[in-house]
Amino acid sequence: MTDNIIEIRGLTKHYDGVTALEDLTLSVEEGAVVGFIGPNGAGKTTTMRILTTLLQPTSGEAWVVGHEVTREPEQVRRAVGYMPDFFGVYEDMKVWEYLDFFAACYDIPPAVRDGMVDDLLALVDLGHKKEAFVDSLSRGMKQRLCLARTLTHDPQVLILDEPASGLDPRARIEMRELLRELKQMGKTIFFSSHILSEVADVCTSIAILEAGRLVTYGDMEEMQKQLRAHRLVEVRVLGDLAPLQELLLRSEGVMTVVAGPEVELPPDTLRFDFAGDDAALSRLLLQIVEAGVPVISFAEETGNLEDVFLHATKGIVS
Amino acid sequence: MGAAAGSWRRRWRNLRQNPIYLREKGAYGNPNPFYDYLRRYSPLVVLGALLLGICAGYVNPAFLLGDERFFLLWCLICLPNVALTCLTWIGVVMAPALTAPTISLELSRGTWDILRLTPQSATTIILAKMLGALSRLPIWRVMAVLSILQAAVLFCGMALLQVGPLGFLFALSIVLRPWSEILFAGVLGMACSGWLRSATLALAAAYGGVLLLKVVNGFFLWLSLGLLLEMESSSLASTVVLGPVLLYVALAVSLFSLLIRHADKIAYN
Repeated sequence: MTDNIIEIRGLTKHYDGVTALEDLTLSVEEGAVVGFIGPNGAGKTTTMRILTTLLQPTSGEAWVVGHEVTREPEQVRRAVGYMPDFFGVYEDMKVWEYLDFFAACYDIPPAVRDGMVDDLLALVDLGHKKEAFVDSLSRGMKQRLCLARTLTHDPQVLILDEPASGLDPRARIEMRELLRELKQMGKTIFFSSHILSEVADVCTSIAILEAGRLVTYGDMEEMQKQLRAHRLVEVRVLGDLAPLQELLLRSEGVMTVVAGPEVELPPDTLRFDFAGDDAALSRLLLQIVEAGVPVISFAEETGNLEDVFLHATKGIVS
Repeated sequence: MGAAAGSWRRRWRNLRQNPIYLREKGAYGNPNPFYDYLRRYSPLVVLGALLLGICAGYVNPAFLLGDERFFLLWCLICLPNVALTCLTWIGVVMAPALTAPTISLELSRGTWDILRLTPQSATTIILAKMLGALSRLPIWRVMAVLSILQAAVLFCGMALLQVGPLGFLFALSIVLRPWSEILFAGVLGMACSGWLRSATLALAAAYGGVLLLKVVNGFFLWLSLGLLLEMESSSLASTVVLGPVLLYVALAVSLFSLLIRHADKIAYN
């Protein structure tokens, strides 16, 4: 067995001869927020449905909170809160009834349910809609209600399939804030999204899936660095750039140095391409300062998630 | 024996507190949009059932014998039979309408997976849904009272006539027939609901099945079968009455087992 809260080993799923997922192996630590990204049909939903016991894998194994998904489905269901991509709600129920119903399905005693429903509605900011019919809620509100439903049994792991899809910008921001709050509450969150900036804002790790295969998985910042062949560093100095430029061109690991308006940089800033680890970069900075260059700022460009995604998926697509 | 009975009582009590059962009964929202529609038109169903029941009800021997002295007594004795036949018609019309939307509506709304994610087993979900939906039928208590009356009349009659065990089997079959028909109609509605994603289609398919069996699983089929097997008259009479009941129960149990096996595979995508 394993100490990770989610452990997937060699997970494969075929649908009528089509491979939806192939030999997926990854593990998620407790408290992590994993962004699961990939193009449509990459196998994200299939993975999530297997992890939530709704789908049987063709081969491979997966554990959630130490329970194997095919052998101990009931324990897995008690440990997981799942919000599907396409989710339905009982529109004929009142908001509080909806949560009370699911809490009862999880065997939560009636005496506990009343207070719990109020707490959950407060968490998702739907307290004022307690007596309203679900039918009357906006899409964003329904999405938040669905998220509250996933929390009724206080699960350790939340698996959210496109939690912000179809939401307007305001509702999307609210959903993001809610995810941050859940992260602070110590929940392990495994969520998929097409909106890469949303993933970057909330998650601690990312897993990129393409054509049923895991392309890359790891700590987001580390991955951004690894995916770059060279690191881009921007230096801003007081006065003339020429001495710094000369020094850099003589230094080990520096590939190219650019400056000027043609690369859209301010007159006091230059950018260089560096092949080396953190220690080498630190030595280079010391060298610059010891040479008497008046450095104002020295910063590495980490790039954004879009770059990482494009970089990671490019090989397979082509 | 006592422990087993206690266990069943506990299971029954748990089921009656199950939220899925309570929802189907109407405690959480209004799960069945057909129900209001059905209730609105139920006087028509009742009238129709009365007419059909009287027409199809067990023949009053007073009419056959032409002996008017015991006319009133025969009427009283036959009253439970006629009333039960009426109620059976109401039951077979309303039971599929109550059970057919239970799963198909969940599938079309996309709530089935969410329900399957709860720790409730597939068997519990289906059983709770079926019993919850059928508990909305307002005829059960009246049927129970009438069945007891009918059983009393029939068993006393059989004892007086000293017809032996076959006679009691005959009587038991008559008592069980209305229950088996409604049970079958309800389970068929539920099964159609599990296989068809449209509640309306499920309902139409269930009515088709009920009607088909009503026609096929009748007196003539079993009489022909008995005659073909060259049965004695007493065995023939029991077969004609017991056969349909057995077929209804066997079909209901088989459909329910198939549905339970199929439950894990039911998904909306």
